[in-house]
Amino acid sequence: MKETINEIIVEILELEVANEELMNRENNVGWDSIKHLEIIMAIEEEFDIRFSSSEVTNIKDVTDLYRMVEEKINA
Amino acid sequence: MQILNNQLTSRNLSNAVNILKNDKKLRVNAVRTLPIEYLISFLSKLNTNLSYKYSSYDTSLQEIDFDSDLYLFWMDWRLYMDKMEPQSLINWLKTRLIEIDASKPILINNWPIFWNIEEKQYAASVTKRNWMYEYNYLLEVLKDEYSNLEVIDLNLFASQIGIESYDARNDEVSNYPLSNKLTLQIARHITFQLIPAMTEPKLKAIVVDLDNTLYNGVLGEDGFDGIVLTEEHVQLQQALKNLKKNGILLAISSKNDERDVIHLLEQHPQFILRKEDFTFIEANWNSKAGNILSMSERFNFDVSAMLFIDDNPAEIAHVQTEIPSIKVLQADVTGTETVHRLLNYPYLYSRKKDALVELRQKDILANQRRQQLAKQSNDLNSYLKSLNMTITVYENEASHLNRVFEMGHKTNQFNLALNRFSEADVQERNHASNHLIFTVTLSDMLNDSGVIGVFFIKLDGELAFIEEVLFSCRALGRKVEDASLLIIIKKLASLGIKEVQIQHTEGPRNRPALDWLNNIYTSTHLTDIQLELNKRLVNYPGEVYWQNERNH
Repeated sequence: MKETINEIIVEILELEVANEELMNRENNVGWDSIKHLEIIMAIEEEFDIRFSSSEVTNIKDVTDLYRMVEEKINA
Repeated sequence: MQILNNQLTSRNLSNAVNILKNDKKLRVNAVRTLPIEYLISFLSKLNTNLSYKYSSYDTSLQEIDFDSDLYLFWMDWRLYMDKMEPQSLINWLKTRLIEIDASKPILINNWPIFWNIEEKQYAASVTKRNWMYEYNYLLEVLKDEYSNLEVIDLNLFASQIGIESYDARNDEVSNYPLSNKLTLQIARHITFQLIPAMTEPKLKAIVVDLDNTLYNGVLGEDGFDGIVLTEEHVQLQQALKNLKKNGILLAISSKNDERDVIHLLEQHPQFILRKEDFTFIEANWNSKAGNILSMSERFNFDVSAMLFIDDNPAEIAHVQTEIPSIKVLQADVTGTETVHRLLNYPYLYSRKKDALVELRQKDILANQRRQQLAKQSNDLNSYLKSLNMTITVYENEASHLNRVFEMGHKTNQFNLALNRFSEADVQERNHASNHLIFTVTLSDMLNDSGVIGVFFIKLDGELAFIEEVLFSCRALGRKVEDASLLIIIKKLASLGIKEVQIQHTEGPRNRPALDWLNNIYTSTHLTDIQLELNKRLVNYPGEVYWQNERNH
């Protein structure tokens, strides 16, 4: 699951590798609100889950994504 | 059919569609007040030939790049709703369209009417919906003024998906109200339907295999009762039938016994396609490439305008090797992917419904009889005589203009200068005093073919400049182009014309027109051209009239 999330982020943010430091909204200016929603929609489609508006706003980095996807899959 | 496409996700997309890759690059100028990144992320997966330049979010649409191959207006019309009436917004939009090169394709989205559904929860008044309804209508009408404009019908696609097409969360987070599913549908529609329909010639025929393509099983082994049609096979047959209604001709090439095939088409209870839906049925053990080439000759158009569908990769590979210019589509045994691939195959979509389908179909069958007659006759003239041809030439005939415009866009083989005039260009020439548009109709004992030829001529003192000559491929081989040009040349002579210049351009498929020109255009003197035409028309048995002569 983590690997798939990494792949999606790497592809959308056009990163070279899954670099944890760059998979953070504060550290990476390229991760803007548009890219953020693009990542969210791709993950939603991949795992067949749905995030609410506040969840979308609260996701700050890749570890938040791991945790929330895990929660939703197991819910 | 849309229901099937609704099941598409970005995951199964690459299986279901034909990702477009070729050398032809299109530069898209995206003018937007709506986030376009989501749409572009799908578009660029489906078509690798598009490059994008997009404006910043600016409701005043200041940044338009004139130098583009295609304009994509991706608009959040809600931003204008409270400020302007629909008609004033259209008038303002027109002032923005002045900034672009209107000879290039223009795409503008409309807006789903039912997205403001919550309005009705609190009051019976539906002002926003009425605004949107009127605005969508006015956008449709705008197409009459801009022949290269097409509306991206968000309203239609959203209504097919239902309320799930609206994503309140996306709207809140990013001012992007389209759901992922709707975005994908729109990307598919733009890539495989709108852009090809606006930039490439449409395909004219589909040649389809039978066993394991239109049904599951082998007719010769499993028998009439042993073959199985899945729900998707039924949908595939329905899709082919709908394509036929929209002007694509159908034919069969199958390694089967012909009697079995006819029996199947006439009697099978689940079959949607019937014998009369196919112009040609080639059920034999000959090579399919040979069958297809012979059909192309009888259809009287090039194989590059044909799509071949088969489940057998070896068969597809063989046909492709023998006929490199043909388009091919791989069928799968269950029919599911076949139907998706077919519905998403580019060059099958047309912007306007083809009004002449029936006429063309009849003409092709009549052509077969003409060819039989030709075989029986010893020379061309006695064959032509047996047809009792009547050729009529019209001058600036208003009722033909729509057909004139259509021919300019559809004709590829006998299209001398490839001008592809817009509707506005045609109208303008019809009204200008120094322009003449001659249209040619043809009928014979087998069929009335309607308008099959057009000449655009500009007069300048003693010079006639022939800007364009178009002939439908159905009419070729009967010297109609010579006979009609001769009567026109005589008319030009009576107007005092001495010199004739004929514009021509070499294109990918217009060799027949250029060959014709080489034969008759030996000098620019009108009398020389007349001489050449007279030589070619010795003992020509067709009757050629001016439209007004016939009426008298």
